[in-house]
Amino acid sequence: MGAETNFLDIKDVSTSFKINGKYYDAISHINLEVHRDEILAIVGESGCGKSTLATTIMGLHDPSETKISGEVNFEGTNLLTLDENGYNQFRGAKIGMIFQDPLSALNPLKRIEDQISEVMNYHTDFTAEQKHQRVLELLDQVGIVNPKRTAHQFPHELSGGMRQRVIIAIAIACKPDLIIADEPTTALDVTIQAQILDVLRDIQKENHAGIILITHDLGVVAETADRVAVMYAGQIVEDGSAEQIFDKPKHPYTRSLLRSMPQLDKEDDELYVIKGNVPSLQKMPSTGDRFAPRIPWIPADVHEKEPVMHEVEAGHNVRCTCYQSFSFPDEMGGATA
Amino acid sequence: MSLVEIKNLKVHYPIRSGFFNRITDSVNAVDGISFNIEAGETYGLVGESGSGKSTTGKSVVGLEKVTSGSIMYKGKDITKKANRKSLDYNHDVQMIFQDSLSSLNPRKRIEDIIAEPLRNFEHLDKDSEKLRVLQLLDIVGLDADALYKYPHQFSGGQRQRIGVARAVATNPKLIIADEPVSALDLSVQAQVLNFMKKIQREFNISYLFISHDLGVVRHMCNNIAIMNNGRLVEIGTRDDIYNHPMHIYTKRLLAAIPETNVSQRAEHRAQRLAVEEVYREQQDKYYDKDGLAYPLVQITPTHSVALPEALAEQLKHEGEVQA
Amino acid sequence: MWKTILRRILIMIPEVIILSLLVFLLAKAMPGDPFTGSINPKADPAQLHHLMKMNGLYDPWYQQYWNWVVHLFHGDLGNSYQYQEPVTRLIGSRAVNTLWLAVFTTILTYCFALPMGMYAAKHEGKLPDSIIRIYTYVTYCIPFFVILIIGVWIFGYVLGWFPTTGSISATAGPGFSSAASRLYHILLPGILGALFGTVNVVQYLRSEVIDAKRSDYVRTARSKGVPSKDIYRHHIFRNSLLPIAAFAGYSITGLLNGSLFTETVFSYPGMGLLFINSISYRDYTVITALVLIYGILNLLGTLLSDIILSIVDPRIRIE
Repeated sequence: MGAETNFLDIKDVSTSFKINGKYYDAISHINLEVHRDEILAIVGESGCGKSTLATTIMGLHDPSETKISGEVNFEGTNLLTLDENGYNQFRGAKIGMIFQDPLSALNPLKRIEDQISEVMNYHTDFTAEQKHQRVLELLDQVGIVNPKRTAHQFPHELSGGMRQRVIIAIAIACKPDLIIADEPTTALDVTIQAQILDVLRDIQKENHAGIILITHDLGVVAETADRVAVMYAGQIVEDGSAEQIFDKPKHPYTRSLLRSMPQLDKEDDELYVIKGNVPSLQKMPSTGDRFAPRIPWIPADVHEKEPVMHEVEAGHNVRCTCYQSFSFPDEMGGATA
Repeated sequence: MSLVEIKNLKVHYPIRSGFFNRITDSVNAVDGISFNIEAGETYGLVGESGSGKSTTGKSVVGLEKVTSGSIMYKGKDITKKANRKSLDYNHDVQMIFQDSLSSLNPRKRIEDIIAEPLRNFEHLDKDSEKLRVLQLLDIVGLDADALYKYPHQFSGGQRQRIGVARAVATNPKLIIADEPVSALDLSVQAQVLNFMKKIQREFNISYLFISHDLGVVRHMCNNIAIMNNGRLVEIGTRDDIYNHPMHIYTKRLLAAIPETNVSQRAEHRAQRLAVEEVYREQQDKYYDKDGLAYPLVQITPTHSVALPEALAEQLKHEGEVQA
Repeated sequence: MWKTILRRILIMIPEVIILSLLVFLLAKAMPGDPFTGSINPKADPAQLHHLMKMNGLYDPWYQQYWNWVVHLFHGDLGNSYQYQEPVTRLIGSRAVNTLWLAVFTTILTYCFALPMGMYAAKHEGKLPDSIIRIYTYVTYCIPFFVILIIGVWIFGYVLGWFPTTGSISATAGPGFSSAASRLYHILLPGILGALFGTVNVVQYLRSEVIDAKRSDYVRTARSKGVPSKDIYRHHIFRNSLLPIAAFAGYSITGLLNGSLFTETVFSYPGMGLLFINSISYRDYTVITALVLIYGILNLLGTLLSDIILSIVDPRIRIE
């Protein structure tokens, strides 16, 4: 932590998609700050809107199919007011993005070198030779053993881990201040995952970048994040430091998620299952606590009518006051955690 | 006697080259592995991508042409097609796949999907078939109106449960589960895992649980084999593998599992890097000159590790001293 | 790569043998004979009998096939019964005409199709896209020969802009004048053929471009800050043209099929017209030779597609 400035400040951002002529909120009223030198993890299950948030910051949505409101203030500019040209000055230069599926995210017909140097074509005035040197330097930095050889290869000739390193090299080529990593290790083996996360951390230290790490893997979050925002059904339901979220989780959803994880130090026979399903975009309730249907044993009057974030501790916020009276069914009657 | 005994199983894929397309080399996907699956247990097969764990699973279910070795079931070697037929092996052994959407025919309704193995093996009349399908849906916790829906109308977890319902339709003895939960969200994963345990208790089913996720494997499996480059590097009970790992590869895998204990993050990372260091430096001690694992040596009745005898003895001794 | 090509060609040999056998037997199985129609109907049946015998038409089929193959290897495909001229020479002169028409049609097809497909996909769902799609649907629904007949009637007959028969004007002098006359004769059949051939390419290309537009690597390129026009140039068009390039080899087949119609309607003296005429005259030697040539060209087209694909797509390497 130790923030210098709020260099990314997301204010009341909502993004809605057009489905059969009507707009539905994929994320609603998101407020987040990201600082330099920190890793902010956004966790949640599929459909919670975490990737939508990332692509909203990057401005990658088709404006004819999407409505976006709010402000994304980045280093003093509200990105949402920019046109395509203006946005391109930020993309790749000051904001780098790392995508999930490393095979499909690379152009199958272009050599690795061309795909990395492409980003420099638009944001630097490097000569061809400088670009070539930088490509080799980047490949080395992300831990590729033989940069010269890899630079000359095509994506299909690389392993999944190497492709992911290439994607990272592209994202960091112009030393961006902000890196958005969308599930950067999901498709990878655990040993590779650990290495990739190390690379990310090293880069961050070197460039003093801020990183938004989007993942569904709580283990990855616990190992890497400084701060955590938990998303459910398009909203942030809890945010705080990694310690606060993992050691003193408050929101019922955060607690349920942590409980449904197979723990390495426990051999419980039954895992905790969250009742019901994540509502689909079209069926998202517009009022009330969106998580309430998943904890039906908690009386309705405990939830706020319009749940808002409450600060429970410095830097630790929880949506809705229902957490105060929440306990799991098997703890009912006993002391609440 | 074990339910299934796999002995020295090899699956080699030929590489053809040259003008006449002759076999010039081979990829040894599975290179001589042996283990037994007991009735009613969940046997974990762990490895990274490309380790050969899925090929092993497919061999056990009879979907892969085995190069050599045997898979004994009820005293017969089911790598031979005739034996599979005479034992009704395909009736007794079923498979659950990782990708539930692509493994369910999108143009068939759930009723037909679940009834398919019944139609192949049991030849029930219409009413009792329907009754059985409804029972199966009930077992996996889906409503009767699911019968007439198509796979895309379900969520990932529901589809995976449909896959399980199809697999248990014929009351199999063994189910090969190839990464059954790795595409699922945490809460859905919990649902499917709980459910797999439940039907195991009810029907005394054995699982060959193939996964790269050591957290899930620990939760599910009594006995575990660690696979690396087509060979087994270590087999043992859950306690052997997680608390007394001996092979550097196993240690490395275990060290790479992210932990949710935030306060010990730094220590955990340091420990992982230390193991990585040993892995890099001492690789030639743990692997033979071709970079492959040694044959397994027995350490305790349940625990075997792929190491040269001397090193195994040394590590065993160190372990005892520590204990 | 050369090894693979050579091996593929060697594999084609048994295919060609089976093809030739089938062709030969099918031609023999056609009812009728080559002479009845061409000699005096009052002639003595014995004379016809004699003609048949002289030409070996009473020999057992394997004997006839064998003779045919032996001659084939001497570059002799026999004499046409109808034209009383060696088949090789007959086909040779016609093949040039067909080749001209085919090359011209192909060039026109891609000239029409590439911009149309890309433009439609780039403006997906908007008016130009709808117009292009309506065009492709309508053209697709009308049989090719109907397009040809309507085309000839309007542009050749009513408006009189183009010649409707032959491959060259009888009055054309040598040199440039001859070439111009040839081009003038293939202009209308070429355009009509291209209008029809365009449909497949446009639809194929359009869906390729739309797929590419939505692909993850285009999203990556956008997140690099690459301007939209460069994304189209460097990523989308290039990647979607690739399967089209490979398609070119297969399109030989389509052109040959099309030439049957085009040449018949335009009385254009090419292989297609020759083929149709030979069938009606039971000119076995010509039919078998033509079908064999068509078959071999198809096989070569497939091979050509594979080679093109392996050159342009790094993921496919034939060794």
